[in-house]
Order: sequence, then C-alpha cells, then structure tokens
Amino acid sequence: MALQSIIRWFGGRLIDATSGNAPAFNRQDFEPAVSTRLLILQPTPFCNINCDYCYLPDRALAVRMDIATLRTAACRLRDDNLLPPELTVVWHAGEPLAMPRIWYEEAFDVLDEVLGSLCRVTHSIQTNATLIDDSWCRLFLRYQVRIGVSIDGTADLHDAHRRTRHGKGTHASVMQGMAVLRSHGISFHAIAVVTPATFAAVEEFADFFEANPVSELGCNVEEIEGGHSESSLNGHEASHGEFLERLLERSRRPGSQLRVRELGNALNLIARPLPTVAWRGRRWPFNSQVLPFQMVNVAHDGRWCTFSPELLGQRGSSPDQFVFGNVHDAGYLQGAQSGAFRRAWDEIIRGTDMCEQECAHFPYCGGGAPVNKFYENSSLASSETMYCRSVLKRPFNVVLAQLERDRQNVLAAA
Amino acid sequence: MDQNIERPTLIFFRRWAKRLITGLSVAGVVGAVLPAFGTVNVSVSHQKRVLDARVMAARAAIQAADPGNAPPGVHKPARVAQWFNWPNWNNWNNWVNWGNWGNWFNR
Repeated sequence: MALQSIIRWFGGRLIDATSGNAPAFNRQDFEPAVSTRLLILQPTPFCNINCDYCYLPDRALAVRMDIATLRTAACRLRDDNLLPPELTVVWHAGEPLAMPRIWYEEAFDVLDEVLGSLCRVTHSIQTNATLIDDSWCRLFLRYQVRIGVSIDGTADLHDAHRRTRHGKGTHASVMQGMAVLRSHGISFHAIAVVTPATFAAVEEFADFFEANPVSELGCNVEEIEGGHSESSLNGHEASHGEFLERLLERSRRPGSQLRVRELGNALNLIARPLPTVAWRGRRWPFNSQVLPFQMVNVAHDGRWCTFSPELLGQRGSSPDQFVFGNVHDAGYLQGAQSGAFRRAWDEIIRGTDMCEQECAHFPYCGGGAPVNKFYENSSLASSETMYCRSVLKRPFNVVLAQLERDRQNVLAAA
Repeated sequence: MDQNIERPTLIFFRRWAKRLITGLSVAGVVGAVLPAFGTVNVSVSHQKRVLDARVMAARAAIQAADPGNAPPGVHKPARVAQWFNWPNWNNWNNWVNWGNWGNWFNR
C-alpha cells in the first residue's frame, strides 16, 4: 500500500510537469454533442451504517448540502447548456435517507423550478433501506422517485459485512424497509455485493431473490477503491464465472423472478452495437465513464468532478486530485480548463487507447472504468482491471457461450 | 598425448558455448524487439477477430429470432425472451437512457 502511494505521488508530480501536453477541452470536438445525462448529487457523505467494504472515506462526517449549493449546481448545468431532453438525478454517497425528508421536498421543488421547463427530470435513490418508513414512501410516490436497495441476499451473507457501527447486522432492518416499500406498491431494484461466500451459497442467494423478487438484481463484486485496498475476489475469479453461469441457468428457468443486471447488459451488448462517440477524428464506443460531462458528480459542499462518479471524495496524490471545481466559483465548462481536469482527461484518453490496443472486448466496453484503473493499476492511463474482467468480460463471455449453445436450436426453430 | 585429447574437447565445448550464447542473444533481441513491431498486437487482433465473429453470429441469431425483425404479417415467437426468460429483455432504449443507472453504485 505504501509503495502504491509512493508510485501515485511520483506519478502525480510527473503529470504536473507535463500537463502542458494535456488536451484542452472543447465541446465542439465531440459528436454527438456533449450533454449530461446523469447528475449525481451527494447530499451528505454520512452513512448510518458501516459496511466493511465501503470505499467512502468520510462516511462518519455528518455534514449536509445546503439548498443554495443544490440550486447553483443545477443552474450551472443549465447555464452551460449541458442539459439533455431527459436528466436522471441520482442521490448518492453515504446514505441519502440520512437527510431529512423535508430537505428532499425542497430539493426536488428547486430542481423542478430550475430545470423542469428545460428537460424531464427523474430522481433515483440508492439506499440501505434501514430508514424507510411510510412517510418516505409517500415522498417517493409523490415525486416518482426510483428506488434501489442494497442487500446482499440471505441474512448470513448480508450481516457478515453490512453492519451498524456497533457491529450489529442490518439484514432485519433492510427486510423491514423492503416490506414497507412493497406495502406501498413501490417496485425497486437491488444491488448485492457478492463475495466468495456468495459463490459458495449461490443456490441460497438465488432462492432469496426468487422469494423476494426485485425489478433487477445488480451483482457487484467487491472493488478495490479508496480506502478499501483489497478485494475478496482476488484468487476467486474462476468461482465468480461459475457463479454467473449458475445465475444465468437459474434465471432461465420457467417462471423465474431473477433478472441479473450484468447478464442483461451482456445480452444487450451482444444483441446490438454500442453507439459511438467521435472526438477529434477518432471514434470510440460509448462509455459514459471515460467521456467528459456524461455524468456530473457534485459533493455536499459544491465540489464536483466528472468521469467515474466514485472519483469524487477520493484522495489521490492530493486531496483534490479529482476535483475539477466548485459550483460556487465557476461553471462546469470553465472547470474543464483546469489543470486537474486536463491531466485526468489526458490520462483517461491514454487509458482508453491502451484498452483499444490490448483488449478484444473494447468494442463492447469503450475503455473501462477510470476509477478502477486508478486504484488497481495506480494510473488512469492503464487498461485491464479486475473490475472490468468481473463486470464486463466475464458476464459477456458467459452469455455469449450460452447463446452459442442455444443458437443451433433457435436457428432450427426459426 | 593428454594435450591432444583435451584440445578437441575444449574446441568442441567452446564452439557450442559460443553457439548457445549467440542463440540466447538472438532470442533475447527478437523477444525484446518483436513486440514493438506488433507481435503482441497481432495476438490481440486475432482475439478481436475471433470474438467479433462469435458476437456477429450470435447477433444474427438474435435478430433472426427477434419478432421485431419478422416480415409484416408473420408472427415469430419471442424466442430470445424465451431463452433468457426475460419478457422485457429488449430494454435497449431504457439502458441507453440510463435505465440501469444502478450501475454507478458499488455497494
């Protein structure tokens, strides 16, 4: 870990010395035009629980975004002409429901006031569900908020990692929150962090989500990010492949309720080509994490970044390595002329080039996830990560192999 | 007499030692230089061609089975949906429009 820090520090100094070569951002260089489809707001870094694989460094910090900051963040998007026809606002980082309900009512109204006449705004919240009650559900219904619940499956799997600060498991509270959502007729997706323990208990895991159906189940691997410098997936990637194969098999059973996000994404990628984006005579498959301003991520105090959302709040070679500005000081496009942005953009382009040269899956991915490159390879200018093997390549290969097994039958039937 | 016996032996070993060193040197140079001329990329290119061919074949099968591609008036069952038991598998538009926004959450 110390060696990684040293490499990162020297890497940062080297980039400082060479930032004159970093490309200036010019929105005219992009085709189609640059617009922000995802605004990720971090109303508080605070979380009411303390999962052991969390990567957020400030999750004990009980500070809040004020409404003036929120309004400014939205106005900057409008003034920079970055709005698309449909904008998704994601409330993320820490536990979003640790904020008061009344704060969200005001926040949703402010966003509607600033953006509502210019684009369709939808709200999404990813929550640990431990704080959900009838009042929250009424708010979700009133503002049509989409909900995602973080739950790892059975109590054994979940409570091994998702605990309170006193070490108590949170599974029962999450189940209670899910029951309240269901009682109000609110559908939701789920995200589970899967570990070797999950691979070993794949049948119980699948049974759990068959008995507690969700609109879609995301199976995240334990990522190496921020302060979380080890992953339980190390040395268990083959087991992860078998786990995905088994989930695919289970989801194909007649009447199955399983809808696994990674497998669905893989099927989509195989079924149709990714759209492409042109930049200065080059053309890349669309990947929102390597393209500027597809996602704009704003912290509680107005600091912002783009590219991978998880970069915000992380500490690279300096605490603000990935902070490209503050909405209180200037607009987003002005921040794109900062040294921090240009250095990151330059490295991300080089990383994307490396992916294109080194990886057969590039046409189906477009350059991976910069934040994972940074934490796994110590540089944004790098290529393959454990994350991309697990989230893109492995599900892709599993689904493709299944299609090949089925192909002859389907062609014969057609 | 001893010298006459030893000399050819030494010559023999020296000759093979030189050959070995030369061979290793050449192999080292080739190993170091060739990747720069694209040997590694040729391998990736081959992998890309193989993967692309597999994907194109699967894509053709999906399109052949997709009821959206059926000629007018001809009903084809949604076999792709049947394969995966996903009635709503064809959610490409949702996906591109960030229907899977949960992707950006890690925990």
